[in-house]
Amino acid sequence: MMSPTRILRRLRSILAGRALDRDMDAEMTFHLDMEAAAGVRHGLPPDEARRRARHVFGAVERFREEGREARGIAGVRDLSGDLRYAARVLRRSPVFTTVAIVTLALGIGANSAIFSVVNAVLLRPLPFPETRTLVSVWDGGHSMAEFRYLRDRTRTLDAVATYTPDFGVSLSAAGEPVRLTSALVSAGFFDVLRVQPMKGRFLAPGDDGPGAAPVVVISHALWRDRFASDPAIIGRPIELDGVSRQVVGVAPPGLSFPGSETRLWVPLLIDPTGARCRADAPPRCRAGAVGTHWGAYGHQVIGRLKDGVTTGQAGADVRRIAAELQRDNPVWRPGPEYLDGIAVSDLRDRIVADSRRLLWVLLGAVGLVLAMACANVANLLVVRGAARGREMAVRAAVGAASGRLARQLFVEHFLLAVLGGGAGLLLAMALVPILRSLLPVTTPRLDEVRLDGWVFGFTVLATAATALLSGIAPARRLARVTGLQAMGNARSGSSAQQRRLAGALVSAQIAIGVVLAIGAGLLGRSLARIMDIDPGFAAAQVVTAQVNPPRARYADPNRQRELVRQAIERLGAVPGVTSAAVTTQLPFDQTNHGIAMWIDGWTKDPNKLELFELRKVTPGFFAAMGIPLRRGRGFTDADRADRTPVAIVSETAARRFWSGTQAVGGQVRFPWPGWMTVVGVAADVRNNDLKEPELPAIYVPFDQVPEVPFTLVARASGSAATTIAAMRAVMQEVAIDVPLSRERSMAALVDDSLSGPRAAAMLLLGFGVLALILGSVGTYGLVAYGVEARRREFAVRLAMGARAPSVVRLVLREGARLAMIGVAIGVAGALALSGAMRGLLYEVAPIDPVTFVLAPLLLGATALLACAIPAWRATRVDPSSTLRRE
Amino acid sequence: MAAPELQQGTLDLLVLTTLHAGPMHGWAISRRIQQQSGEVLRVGQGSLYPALYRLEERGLVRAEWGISDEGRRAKFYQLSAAGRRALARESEAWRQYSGAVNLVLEGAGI
Repeated sequence: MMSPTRILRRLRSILAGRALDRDMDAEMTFHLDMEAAAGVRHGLPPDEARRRARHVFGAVERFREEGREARGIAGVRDLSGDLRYAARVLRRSPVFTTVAIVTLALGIGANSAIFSVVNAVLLRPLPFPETRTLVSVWDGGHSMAEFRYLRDRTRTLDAVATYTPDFGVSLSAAGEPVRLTSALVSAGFFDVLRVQPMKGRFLAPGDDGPGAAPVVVISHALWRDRFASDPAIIGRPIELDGVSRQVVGVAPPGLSFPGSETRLWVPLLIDPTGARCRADAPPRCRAGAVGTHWGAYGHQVIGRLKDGVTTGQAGADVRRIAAELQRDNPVWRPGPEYLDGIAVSDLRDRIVADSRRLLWVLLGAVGLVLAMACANVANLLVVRGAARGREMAVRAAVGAASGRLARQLFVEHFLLAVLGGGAGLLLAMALVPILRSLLPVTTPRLDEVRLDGWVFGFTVLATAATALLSGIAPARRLARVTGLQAMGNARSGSSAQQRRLAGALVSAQIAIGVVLAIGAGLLGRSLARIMDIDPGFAAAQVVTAQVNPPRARYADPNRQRELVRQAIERLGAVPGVTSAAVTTQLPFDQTNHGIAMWIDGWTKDPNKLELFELRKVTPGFFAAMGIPLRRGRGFTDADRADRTPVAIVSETAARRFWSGTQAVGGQVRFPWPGWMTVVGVAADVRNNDLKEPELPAIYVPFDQVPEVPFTLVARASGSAATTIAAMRAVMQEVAIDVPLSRERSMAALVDDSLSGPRAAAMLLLGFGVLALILGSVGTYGLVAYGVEARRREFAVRLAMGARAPSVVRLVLREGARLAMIGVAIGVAGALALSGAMRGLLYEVAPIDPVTFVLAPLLLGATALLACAIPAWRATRVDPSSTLRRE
Repeated sequence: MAAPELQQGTLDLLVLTTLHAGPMHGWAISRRIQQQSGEVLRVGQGSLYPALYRLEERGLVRAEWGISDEGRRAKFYQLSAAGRRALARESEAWRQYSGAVNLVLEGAGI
C-alpha cells in the first residue's frame, strides 16, 4: 500500500508533469555544462570537452525516460507526451492526415448512420413494458370470429386484443374537417400493451360490446395540436365520421402503436352473437354486427404470454383453437394450409420482418466499406512507415525503448481513428435524415431513428476496432525495425516486406470493392427490371385524391351517389381535365379490397370461392386511368342501380375462368345471391407492386353498389399541383364537410412503390462508389510509392536505353497483379455471399453473369487507371540527376 | 577506466552518505563519490539521476533550486529527517554485511 503522502506526491508529479520535465531538462543542462567546464579546466578545448561530457552523460533520451519512470509518472506522462508528439507528426503531413481522416470518417459515419436505423428498427425493444412476453398471434389478418374463439378459449395467453391498423377517419371539429389515421381496437388493447393513460382512462371491457356508448381515446399529439392541450378534454364529444364520440382518455406522449401516424383509438364493435356461422345462418352470415362475419379479414391480434410459456407452446394452443373453430363451423372449411399458417411470434420480430433482410444486407455492406477504409488507412500508414524508417531508427539509436516506439506509432493511429470517428459522428448526423427519406416509407419504426447512446457506443466501438485494425500491422512492422537495420538500410530499407504487406492490403480493398460493386450491380439491374414493368395503365397526367365523407352522415347510398355524381360532373368541367372518375380501390395506393366471388360454371364448393380484387368505379374510370378494354363494353351512365347488375373482369380472370373468349356474358356473384353479368374484359393492371402480378380483378359500377370513402381520379393536361387545387376547389363547392386526403399524382404513387428496391440499389451503389474511390486511392498510393522506391532502378533502365512503354509495362504489371488477386478473391466472396441477396432481387439471379463480369472488370480497370499516373511518372525519371543524387 | 557496477541499493546508500555532508547538486554528488572512493567508483549520470528521483519519491531526500558556487541555477539535494534515519539504519546494515563478507573472505585465506 502506498502511504497517502506518496500518493499525493505522485499526483503532484503527474499534474505538474510538464514543469517537472522542464526541471529535468534544466538539471541535465547544468550537469553537462559542469562536466564540460571540468574538462576545460583539465586543458581540453571547449568543443572537445563538451563532446566528451555528452558522451559520458550517455543516452540522454533513455535516461530521461528512466528518470520519469523513477518518479512513477511514466505511463501517464508518456501517453500525453505521445499524444502531443502524434499531433505534431500528423500536422506535419497534412495531406496524409486529411486523406486518412476523411477515409475513416466516411467509413465510420456511414456505419453509424446505418446502425442507427438497424438499432431503431431491429434492435431497440418496443416502447412497452416486458416486451419479451408481447406477441403477435395468428400472423396475418383474420376475422372477428377467429378472434372471439381465441379470446375465449386460450390457455397460454394472459390477454389478447385485436386491432385494425391505419383506419382513416374524418374528424370534424371547429374549422376544416381533417383526415386522421385511427386504429380500431378491442377493449383489451391497452391492457395487452401494459401502458397507462396520461389523462382519463383507456378502454374498459364492454366499450367494444353491442350497445356501448361511442367513446374514443386520442393521442397526446392530437390533444396538443388539435385541442390546444385542453385540460378539460375528458368527457368532451368530438365528431368522427359524422358520429359524436366522447373522449375518455389521452394516451401518453410517444404512444402511437400500431402505426406511427395513429392519432385515435376507436373501439371495435364485437357482437357475441355474430361469432359463429351456422349452416342455417343467412348466406352472408353477418348477423348484423360489423366485422363478425367470416372473410372480414384485416384484424391483427396481439397477446401476452402467460409466465413460462414459449411462443411455440402458444402456437400449438392457437392451432388447437383454430382446429375447433374449423370443426364447429359447417359453412367455412378452409384447407390444411389454414392450420399450417398459424404462428405466434415476438411482436417486434413480426413488425420488422419485412425490413430485416434489407437492413442486415445494408449493415453488412457498410461494414465492408469500413473494412475497406481500415485497409486504406493501414496501407497509407505502411507506405508512410517506410518514409519514417529513418526517424524511427534515429530514435531507437538514441535509446528510446522499442516498446515505446511501437506505442508511439499506435498512439498516432489511435489519434487518427479518434479524429476520424469524431468526424464520422458528425457525418452520421447529416446522413440520418437523408437515410430516413431514402428508406422505404413502409419501413416500420422509421420515426424512431435517431442518434442515441447506443449509436454513440457503436461509433466508439467501430472507432476502436478501426484503430486496432488499421494500426496494429503497420505498428508491429515498424517497431520491429531495429536501429541498426533501419540506419544502414534506410533507403531501400525494409521496403520489400512493407510493399508485400501494402500489396496485400490493396488486393483486399479491390476484393471488397468487387463484392460491393457486384451487390450494387445486382440490385441496380433488379430495379431496372422492375421499372421496365408496364403497370397496365398510363400513369402520366393522372392525379388522384381520396374523398372521405363522414360515414354516418353519408350512410344513405343515394347521398353517396349524389356526392359522386356532382363531384365528377364539376371536375370534368374544369378546363384541362379530359376525364374524371371515381374508384373505391386505386392501384398503388397500397390498399387491397379482396373479395371472394362465386363464378357460374366454375365454382362448385362454397368453401372454394375465387379471390378477386374489387373496384367499384364510375364509367369514366378506364379512360381516366388509361386502362384499355379488350372485349365487350365499358360501363355507361345507363348502368344504374335500377338496371341489370353488370361487371367487367380483368384479362387474367377471363383467361382463368372463362378460357379467355367466353367471359362476356358470364355470370358472377358475391357469396350471397344476386348475379352480375360480365359485359367486358379490361387489361390487367398491377396493384400496389410492379413485381406482383395482380389477382383476377372485377369492376362493378359504383352506382349499383356505392361505398365511401372513394378516390377521385382525373386525367388532366395541367400540372399535378394545378389539378389537385382544382379537385380541392370542386369538393369545397360540392360538400364542405368532406375532407380530401392523399392527393398524389399516379406517377408518384407508382414511384413510391419502388422505394424499397430503390433504397437498396441507391445505398449499395453509394457504398460501391465509395469503395471504388477508396480502392483507387489505395492502389494509387501503393504504386506511386513503389515507383518512388524504384526510382534508381528506373533511372538505370532508362539510362541503359529502355523505352518508356517498357517502363510503363513494368509498373502496370504490379498493379495488374494486385488487381487480379483482389478481383479473384472478390468474386469468390461475392459468390459466397450471394445467398444473402436472394429475396431482394427481382428476375435477376443472385449469380447474375452480366454483373459478375462487368463489376470485376470495372474494378480492375479502375485499379489500372490508378496505376497509370505513377507509371507515366516513372518514365519521366531523369537518369542523370537521379543517379548523381544517390 | 573500468568501474565496478554499483547495485541500486548500494548507490542509494552512497548518495545518502554523500548528502550527509550537506546539500549539493547532482554533479557535485557524482564528483564527490568519485573522489571519496579514490577515483574507483564512477557514478554514471544515467543511474545517478534516476536514483535521486527515486529517493526523492520515497521522501528520503528533498530537492530545491538554488544558486551554485559558479553562480548558476542548480538543483540542490539534501537529506530529509526520514533520509537521516534511513542513512543510520542502512549504513549500520551495510557495515554488518560487509564485515560479514570480509570475515568469510579472510577465513577462506584467499
